[in-house]
Formats: sequence, structure tokens, C-alpha cells
Amino acid sequence: MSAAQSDGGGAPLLRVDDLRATYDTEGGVVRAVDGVSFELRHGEVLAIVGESGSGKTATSLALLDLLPKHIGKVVGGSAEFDGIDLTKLSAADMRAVRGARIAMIFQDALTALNPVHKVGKQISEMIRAHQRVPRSQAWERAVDLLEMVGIPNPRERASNYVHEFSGGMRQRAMIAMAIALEPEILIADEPTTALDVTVQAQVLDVLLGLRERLGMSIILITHDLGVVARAADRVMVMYGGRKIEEQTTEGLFANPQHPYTKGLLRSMPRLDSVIGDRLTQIPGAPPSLVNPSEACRFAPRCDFARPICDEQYPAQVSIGSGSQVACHAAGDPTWETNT
Amino acid sequence: MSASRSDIAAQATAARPFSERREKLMLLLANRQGMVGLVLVLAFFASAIFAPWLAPYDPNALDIPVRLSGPTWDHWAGTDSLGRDQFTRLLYGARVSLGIGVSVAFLSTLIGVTVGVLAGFLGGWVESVLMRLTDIALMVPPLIFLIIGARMMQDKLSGGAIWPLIFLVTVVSWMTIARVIRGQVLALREREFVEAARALGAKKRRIIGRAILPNLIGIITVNLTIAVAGAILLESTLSFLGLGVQVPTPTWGNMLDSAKSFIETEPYLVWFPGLAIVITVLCVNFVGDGLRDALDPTQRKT
Amino acid sequence: MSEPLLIVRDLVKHFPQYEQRILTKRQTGSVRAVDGVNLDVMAGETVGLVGESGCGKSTTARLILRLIEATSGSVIFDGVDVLNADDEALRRLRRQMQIVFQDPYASLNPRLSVREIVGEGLRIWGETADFDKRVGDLLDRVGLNRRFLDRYPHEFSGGQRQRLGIARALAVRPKLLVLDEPVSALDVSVQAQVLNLLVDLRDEFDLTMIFIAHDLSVVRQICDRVAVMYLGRIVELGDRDGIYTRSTHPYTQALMSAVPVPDPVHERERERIPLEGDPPSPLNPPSGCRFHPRCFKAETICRTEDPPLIERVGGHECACHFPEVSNVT
Repeated sequence: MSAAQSDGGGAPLLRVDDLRATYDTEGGVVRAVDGVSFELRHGEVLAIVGESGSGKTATSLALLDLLPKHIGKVVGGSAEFDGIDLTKLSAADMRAVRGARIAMIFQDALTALNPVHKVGKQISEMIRAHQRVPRSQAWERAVDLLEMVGIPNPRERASNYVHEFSGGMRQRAMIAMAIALEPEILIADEPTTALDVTVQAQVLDVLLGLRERLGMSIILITHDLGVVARAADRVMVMYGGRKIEEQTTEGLFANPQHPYTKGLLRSMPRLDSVIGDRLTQIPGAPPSLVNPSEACRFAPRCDFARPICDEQYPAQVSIGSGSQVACHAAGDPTWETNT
Repeated sequence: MSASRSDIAAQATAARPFSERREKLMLLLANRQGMVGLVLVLAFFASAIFAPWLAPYDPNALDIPVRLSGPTWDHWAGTDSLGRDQFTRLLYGARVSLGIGVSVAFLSTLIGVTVGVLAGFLGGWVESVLMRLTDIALMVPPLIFLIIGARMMQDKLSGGAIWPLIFLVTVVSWMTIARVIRGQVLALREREFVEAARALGAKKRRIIGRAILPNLIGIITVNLTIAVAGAILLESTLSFLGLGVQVPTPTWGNMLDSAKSFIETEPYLVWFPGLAIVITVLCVNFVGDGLRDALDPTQRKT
Repeated sequence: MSEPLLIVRDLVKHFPQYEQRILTKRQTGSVRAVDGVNLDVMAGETVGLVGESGCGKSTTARLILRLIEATSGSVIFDGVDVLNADDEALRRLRRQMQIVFQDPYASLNPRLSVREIVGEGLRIWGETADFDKRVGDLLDRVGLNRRFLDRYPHEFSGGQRQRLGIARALAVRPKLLVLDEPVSALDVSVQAQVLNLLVDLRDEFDLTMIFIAHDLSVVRQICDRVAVMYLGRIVELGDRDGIYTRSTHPYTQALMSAVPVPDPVHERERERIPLEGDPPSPLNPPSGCRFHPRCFKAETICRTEDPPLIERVGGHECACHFPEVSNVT
């Protein structure tokens, strides 16, 4: 804790502590988020990285009470945001926070935008749902917002329907709607994954520009380490429903600590070089989160696992300024984890 | 490739305890609703087949003194206006009603699936011709067609033949399934596993047989059961209108027909054939749902 | 130099667009999905086909295999004219050209067991002797347990399904393997496993590969030569190092510069060539050079004259009036 506070300057905007969430499935209860703690500071971009099923999306859905109804639920922990615990809010109070103070954008803009209403109308209705402003004024705001996210001819475009927008423009429109109420936190779940690279670059620029302009904090959920390198200030890596490592972006790429993070970085093909004939691969597949054992979840795939890894889950170890890693080998100089 | 520990764990669970057929059967047995339906449907069929041995009376034996007796120990389901035993007539009526229901269901599904698959898979002029034909058939109001058709075949029907009814009901029953199947085939045709089969050099017949038809099983079984139910209802309607199978041959429909004059005084005469129709239709639908799940490999536990 | 295994010339595919009237259809235009592609593939090499969505790379692959019919052009595989082959000749050709699809869920028939999916080619070609053993060997070869024979696709993860798709294609011993975004639906750690498997199989089975991907990093890792496509055309074609370190077409350069590199220090120093807007619609491609409305170098000639794909600078082919070598990675 102390390390995190020393360089952050002031209290964090969001402090998540031991968050737990489950999904009920036919196969049993999936512990999708299993004791995740992190902090988000004012104005920073925190990336949550992980593969499918790692719990990165479930974490953000749990924060906003958006887990699938009747299936997913928060079962423990707290998320303190401006003196309130998000996990304890009533549905009505959560509605006042969600969208207005913490907004979320998704990979697929088509599911988030309503096909039968004009884009401008959706944005202005969103404004009017939270603020008492006349219809015409809300419409003007919508046009301004569309301009802010870089949509050409925003006044004309506000009268279009979603299907008349290209993929990149839909994503921009969704961002415009999300920032309409100037939220303090924007959660972006794989915001560029479905887009072509040239458009992806544009959308990332829009997000980062808005962060500067509105002073938002961003939680960027992604599986793409390139996007992390470009956009994030800090990174937390998730695996099997838990946080396994957290570092500054520079620190993580220069000096990854957890064997999984190391493996992930080495298994990625690179645009800027060719890595011999074969990529380093992590063998096996991610674990099932139905009744997971108390072992380290990465142990079955880890080249450096020792007996203790099968017996108990490693504690989070602080490794200097705000960095943490959950690995038994961390802090043991005799336990080599490099190949 | 180094075999990691998780691979070994995955391999340990690879062996499967049961054969595929046994597994399908177990899935069907596990579906309680489907099972109840199956048991009842089988019971109905059995009693229809064994009606001559099960029935306590002759279906056409008149016993005027006990007419309209209401349910008694001697006549569980009462007697009709001519003193015939209702229970006996229900058993014999099941032969006609179920016979028509099953025959029509199979025939109309066969026609519908053939038309739908050919139209959807071959496309071009074949599709245009078949689908326009379907559209035209759909434009004919079924009840009017049936009434006119039954009138025209009146002499055969009064001779006690039921094939004219099977024919007429089939003619108005195949179009919906044809359309649904065509739509499914159009979607399936574009799926990558169909492309993969083509890329491997599979001929059209093989693609239809291995890639298209197996993926239609769910729809076909469900349609089959809906068609059984629909045909029973249509037969009842026609018989109720006095146009179906002619008395004295009993069917559930013409039993209802002759009961309608007594509906206020002797409601049980309506109750029993009505119940028979409702329960059969419901059970057949339950069986259909159960079958669809049992035949779907993704429903199987691993 | 020997003859190429595959010769593609002026390949064109236009999808006509119709307006449905009550009884008739009226053609309103056509999507020029592939609009004059030329490509030679030598035996044993791996050629990457890259570009953004809608550039025609997947359509090109399906045209080569004749899974869809071309509007015009020619495809010669191993001396045989693919586009004019009759049904039986085409069936025989297809044994030698196989495809692995992107979507590990849609590409396997959910109703068939692994035995029937992987062994489908063997059944089609009547090679059913030692059937289970041969299918089992294929599973072994792609890193799956041979006891999986009786399982169904839904019991497998995305990576395992992709291995099944590869095994199915290899069963008929093809010469050419077309891979249509084979790893883009997979997680990073699984992606590396499948890429390594493909490299091993390429050597073992002497495969020639056409590798289609939008992920330029993956293509650099696995391909010998790379063709960059834009709006139905190849705009730049060259060997791997040439394309990645000495690209000459402004589109290639912009595309590469947009890909983020997983190295924050390098990433924040890299020069970016921003592209405005989205790719134009292939329904109505721009006049002259198709890239000119988004190009930072465009001049008058670019609006009127379509530059041909010819060898210019950097030792590779480029379709640009103003080619210039640059390293943007």
C-alpha cells in the first residue's frame, strides 16, 4: 500500500479491494474475478491485460453492476469511488453513477447503440436523462461531442442512423455518448479490437486526446500489448481471475516479473523484428475457474514451477514503486525464471 | 512440443465412458418432460394398435337403453346418443386420428425438406420454380381447399377410405417447412465447414448428406411433431364438419361432431375426445423437444 | 528459376448489386472486391496477403481455390487452368489446394465427430484403409490427443479447433495451403502455438502457403514474401525484409506505422503517418490511384492515372507514382 501512495500524489480516484465476482454456469460456479485489488489515479490510463477468460472484462462489469443478470454477481470486496462503495450501491444510486460519473465503451458499438434512433438523438437523450436541459440545447451538445471525437460534418452526421456509420465512426459515436456527461472514469473494453489498424490508431488518438482535454482517468481493457505500449501509463496483468502483476508500462515491458508476463511478451510476433524461426510459446491452455484449487493458477503451464506452486497461491509481493507481482519466485534470488 | 502438465490432465479425461447411441438415449431419458410425453404417446399408439383386444365392446354395437348414460362402471367414458361405448370408440378413433397424424407428418415433412433443400442448395431456376410453387400453394386458403377436396372425394370417403384425407391434409401442410428449410440451407451453405467440404472435393450429394442435412435434424424433428399435432387437428376439424371419415367409423373429430348437439346436457361426450386430442398434441410436442436436444451433440455433457 | 506453382493473372471478382423489384431484379452497380490481381507463388514459399477489411484478400483466396467463381482472369496451378477446369478436374485439383479458415467455430461441422471431420478428405477420396490410425496420426501431428476421435467440435477450445482445421486440410496431402486469418481469433499465447505448428508442418509436408492476415506482425514472422492489398489490388509486393524495412508505397508505410509495437520506449519515438478517414467503398472506387484521397503525397497525376504494379525502387514491385524508400517499423 505504502509504495502505491508514495508516487501517486493524493488519494486514488478508485480503490478496488479484494473484488470477487462469480458466474453461475451449467458446469458450476465460475470464479471469474477472484480477489482483485487495484487503484486508479486521477488522469491516468490503466491498462488491464489478459487473455479471454482472465477476468479482465468481468472486473469492469462487476464495478458497474453490469454482470449478466441472474448469472453473474459480486460476492465480495469493495470498490471505493469518491467516498462511496460501488458494490453496495442500490440499483437507483448506481444508475446515477453509471454513465454520468463512470462511463463504459465496448468492443462492439453496434450492440451499444440503438439502431432505430438517430445518433444525435441517442446522445442528447442520454444527456437529458441525467440533466435538465432543453431538447435543442442537448442536441447542440451532441453535435459538439461528435465534433470532439473527430466525426467530419458532425451536424449532418448527428441526423444519421448507426447503420450509416462505418466501424470507426460507430466507435467514435459511442465514445461521444460515453463522454457526454464528462465522466471522471471511462472504462474502455477492447475499444479498438474490431477495427482496422489505421482506424484503430485514430480511435486511440481520440481517447488519449479526450483524457488530456477532460482530465478523465481511463481503464483500458485489452489483449493487445501493442495498444498497451502506445496508450497506457500503468498495466495490470490478469490471469485466471486474479491480478498477477502490476507495473508502470515502461517497467512491465523492460522488466517483466511474472513468468506468464514474460512468456506473453516473448510469444508475440513483432512488427519491428523477426524472432528466429519459432516463437516462444506458453504450452497448454488457461485454467478452468470452476472450483479452482488453492495452487498458483499458472503453475500447470509454468516452466519454473516448484512443489510450493501446487500447494498455495502466492501472495502479492511489492517490488518497488507501485509494482506488484504474485509469484513465489519473486524476491527469491536463487529461483531463476528466465529461459 | 513439450507436453505440459495441463495437456496430460486433458488427456486423462479423454476416454469416454459410453457409446454414442447409448449417450443419446440417456440424454432423452434425462429429459423428464420428453419422457412423460414419450410414454404417453407410446401408450396411445399401443392402445390404437391393440384396440380390438383392449376395447370392452364392439365400437358399433348399439345399446339404446343405456344411451347417454354418463360415465359408469360399465361404460367408463359413458355412451353416446345411440348407446355405443365411448371408451371403445375413443380407442378405435385413435387408429384413424393417429394414423392420419403420423402419415401426414412424415409425408409433408419429406416433401417440405426435399423442396427446401433442393431450392436452397441448388439455387438458380430450380429455386425460383420451387419457391414460386410454394408461394402459390400458400396462397390457397387451407380450409376451403380441404372442404372442396373432401366434397370431391366424397364417394371414396364414405367407403371408409382414409387415404384421401391423408392426401388432402398433406397438400396443405408441406409449405411452411419447405420455406423454413430453404432459409436454413441458404445460411448453412455459406458456413465455412460447407466451404471446407467443397474444398476437399466433396460432391453435391455428399455435402447435402453430411454437411447440410445433419444440421437440419433439430428443425426437422420439431417440425415433424408440430405436423403430427397439426394434422390431427385438421382431421378433427374436417370430421367435425362432417366431411372427414364418415360415421360409423369413429374418429376423435367425428365423435366431437356428433357430441355437439348434447354439449349442454351431456358435456362428457365433448370432454373425452377433446381431451384425447389435446393430450396427444401436447405429448407429441414434448417428445419433439426432447428429441431435438438428444440429437444435438452440443447438449452432451463432457 | 523454375515455373511458379501458382500463377494468378488479372484476377477480377465483381459482386453485382441488385435492387429487388416485385418480379425482377435490376443491377445497380457492383462491388469490385478483387480488381486485377497478379501474383506468382513459387513452390515451397510462403506468401503473405495483407490489408484492411474489404481490401479483397479473402476473396482472392477463395477465387484461387475456385470456391467462388471469378468474373475474369486466370489461375494456373501446377500447369492446370483452375478457372476453366471441369467438375471432375476441379475436384482433383482441390485435393492439392486446401484452406484453413479464420473462425474456429464456424469452420467445423458441429454434427460430426473429430474422426469424421479430420477424416472427411480420406472418405471423399476412398482412402479408408487404416482409417482410425491415419486420422489418429494426423491428430498426433497437429498436437492433439488421438483419443479425441469420438469427440465433437464444441468440446474443444479455439486453439484446438484450429488444429483440427489444419489436420483436416493436411489429410489429403495438399501442395498448397491457403490460411485465411488462421490465428486472428486466438489468444496471444495460443496464437504462438499455432504459428509454430504451421512452421513445423510447412517443413515436414513441403507446403507452399498463402497466408492471409490483417496482423502485420504475424505475417512478418511467418512469410517469405508479402503482398499488400488495397481496394481489390496489390499495391506493393516484395520479400519480407524489403516490405518491412524498405517499403516504398505510402499506403504500406501508413499501415505499418499505425501498428503499435509492444515496446513503449520505441513506440513513443516512432513516426506515425496518420491516415484520414476510412477506406473508400469498393462499390465506387476513386479514380486514378485508388489510394489518392487518403494519400499524403497525392498530386494531380494520382487523381487521373492509375499507377501500374511494376518494379521501382527497393527491389520490389510497387504501384505508386512517387515511390520512396522508408522504414517505419
